[in-house]
Amino acid sequence: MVVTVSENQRPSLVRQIAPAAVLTAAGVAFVSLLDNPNETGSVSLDFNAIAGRAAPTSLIPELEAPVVPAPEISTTLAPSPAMTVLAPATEPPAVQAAVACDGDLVASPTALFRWGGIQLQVHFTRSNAICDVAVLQYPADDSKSISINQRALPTYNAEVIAANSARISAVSGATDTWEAYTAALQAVIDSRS
Amino acid sequence: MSRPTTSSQVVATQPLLPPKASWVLDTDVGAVIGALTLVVVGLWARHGGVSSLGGSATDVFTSLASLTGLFASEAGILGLLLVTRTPMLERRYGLDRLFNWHRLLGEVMAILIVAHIVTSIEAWADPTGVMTAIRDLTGREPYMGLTTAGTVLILVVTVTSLKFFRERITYETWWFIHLLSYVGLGFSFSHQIVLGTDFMDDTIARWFWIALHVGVALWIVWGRWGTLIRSLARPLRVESVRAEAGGAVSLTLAGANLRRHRAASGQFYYLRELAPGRWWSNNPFSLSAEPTTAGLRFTIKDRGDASRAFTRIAAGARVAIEGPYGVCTPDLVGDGKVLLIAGGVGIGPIVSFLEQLSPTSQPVVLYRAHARAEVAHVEELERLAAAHGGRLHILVGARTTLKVPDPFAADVLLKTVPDLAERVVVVAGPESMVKAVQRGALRAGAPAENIHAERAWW
Ligand SMILES: Cc1cc2nc3c(=O)[nH]c(=O)nc-3n(C[C@H](O)[C@H](O)[C@H](O)COP(=O)(O)OP(=O)(O)OC[C@H]3O[C@@H](n4cnc5c(N)ncnc54)[C@H](O)[C@@H]3O)c2cc1C
Repeated sequence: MVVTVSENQRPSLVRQIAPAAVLTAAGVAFVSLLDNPNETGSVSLDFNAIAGRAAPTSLIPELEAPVVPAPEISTTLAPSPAMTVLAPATEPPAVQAAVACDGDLVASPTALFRWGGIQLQVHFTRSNAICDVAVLQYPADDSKSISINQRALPTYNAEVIAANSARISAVSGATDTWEAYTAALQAVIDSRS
Repeated sequence: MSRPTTSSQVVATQPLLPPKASWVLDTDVGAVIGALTLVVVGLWARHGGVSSLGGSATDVFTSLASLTGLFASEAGILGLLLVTRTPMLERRYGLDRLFNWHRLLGEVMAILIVAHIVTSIEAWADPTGVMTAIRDLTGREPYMGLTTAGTVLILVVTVTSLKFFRERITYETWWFIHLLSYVGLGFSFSHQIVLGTDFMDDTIARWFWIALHVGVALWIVWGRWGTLIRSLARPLRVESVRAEAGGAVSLTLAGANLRRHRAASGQFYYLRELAPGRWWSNNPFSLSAEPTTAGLRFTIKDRGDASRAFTRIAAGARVAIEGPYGVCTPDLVGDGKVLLIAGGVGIGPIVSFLEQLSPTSQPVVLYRAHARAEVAHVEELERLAAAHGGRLHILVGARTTLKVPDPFAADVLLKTVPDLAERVVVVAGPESMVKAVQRGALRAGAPAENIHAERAWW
């Protein structure tokens, strides 16, 4: 029996290019859908995902007892030597430093995230500007967490004072902390407006 | 339309139609690989992979760890798609090439995994040190114990597939070890979702990644188990068994469902005898006659346990078939002239090839065997060669007793087949012989795209 060559008609150019065009377009569309809120971090940020994962209990109001950390995560109580390290390692700009911290001292809710909780104490001026931030509590379960947070938190504190808002950029490698930190801070800011 | 009567089913033996041509183009495959790569690199870049490269050493390692991890996954996914036995891919490239690419991607994946492990440890080691990082990443972090176990399995599979080890263990042992790669990949998938910086915080990316993996898993299950179930559901029966020269046996498998089956000469099937103690082994054998509605013939030589069992099979035994596979079929020759070279039991596919050649092909058949007594199907070969205006050369003897050191050297080939460069060359036989022929035919002037063989992959 003779088998004839059937596949020697060359496929049209359209047939050759169309799948590549369609798949490339789909790929580009998909990639542009992805979250990319932060250029500096190596970790992506998705505030909704965090909120969706732990809300609505991710923010535990603790306004009554400002300095007492959330009881349910007592192990994440910042050890006091750590607090010393956290004391403004990066000095706020001189202009800011000159401002008198003569307003309210407010404790934030504890922002819970994967590695533990973050609670801030925010000092305002009489004109309602942020003049100082102290970290009351941060994840310190393991040496990795401690080192990441000790590196990032002073930077965040300084950035907040400079920006006078929660719109600060993340330190790369510490984006989880960034999310929790800004969430806690935003809660304080929201509660005063 | 009236159904064929019983008598016509028996009488009207017809050659089977060749398998339908695949609609897959190289450009389609390129498009899929390109798009997947685009998405993977896009994921990485979009999540800060590029900007981190300008950061601290830890940032750079974090970024590289995520990139190598993503690429390892991509290589794994593509490698798995190649062994799904998807007909449109198989028809286009042939199982042998798919298996070879699968192996290549497996090796690439193993290298990427090692790079991923090294960069991850470096990234994690800041500032607690490498030892802490290793401890964290091998068990203290969630799912990393599982991932470590999975990685070990994948690396075992890769190492046992290296030629050195592969040649030292039996096919079945290798195959069962190979199955562990599914377990390994499943285990290590967990850490990508839970710890992977690209997936833990980005919902869209996470669901895309999960969907991609589930899709591939379903595709594998469908392709492999579907093939198996179809083959078990409609086994063929051994219609006749014939002893051939040199201890080889030719068996013809028949069944009513062959009427709607499609196959071409030169293709092969996996055969599985449905008998106690035999059903789990599945071995490839080539058609040794043109496939017809009356049956599929295979010529099998005793080379080990499985093939020996087939040489002793009795008429009436049930055999499940998977196939046909292979793209080395007579339509490669078209209306041109052909040179067919067979070694040992490779003569089977060559006989089937001859039956489907066009009258213009003037086939020259070179048949190499160790001893005169091992030369099978001689009368058939002579008859078919003559019918197509061709000729048969038989070359017997151990290598050392031959007059020439290499019977497939270019000058030797050209002496027998002066118009070799104008012919399509088809080789079937042991790997060493296939290589020798490819070398010789190339030197003798045949273009590489005109030299065809079933590549060795086992
Ligand atoms: C595409 C193809 C076509 C073939 N056609 C024929 C043919 O027409 N006639 C014939 O006699 N032989 C043919 N073979 C070889 C045949 O498949 C092996 O001889 C048989 O599988 C050996 O199994 P065994 O258990 O008897 O021997 P073993 O001692 O287990 O193995 C002998 C050799 O066969 C290889 N092998 C074993 N099982 C498999 C398997 N399931 N898949 C792939 N390789 C395996 C082993 O690696 C080893 O190199 C073909 C092989 C391939 C790949």
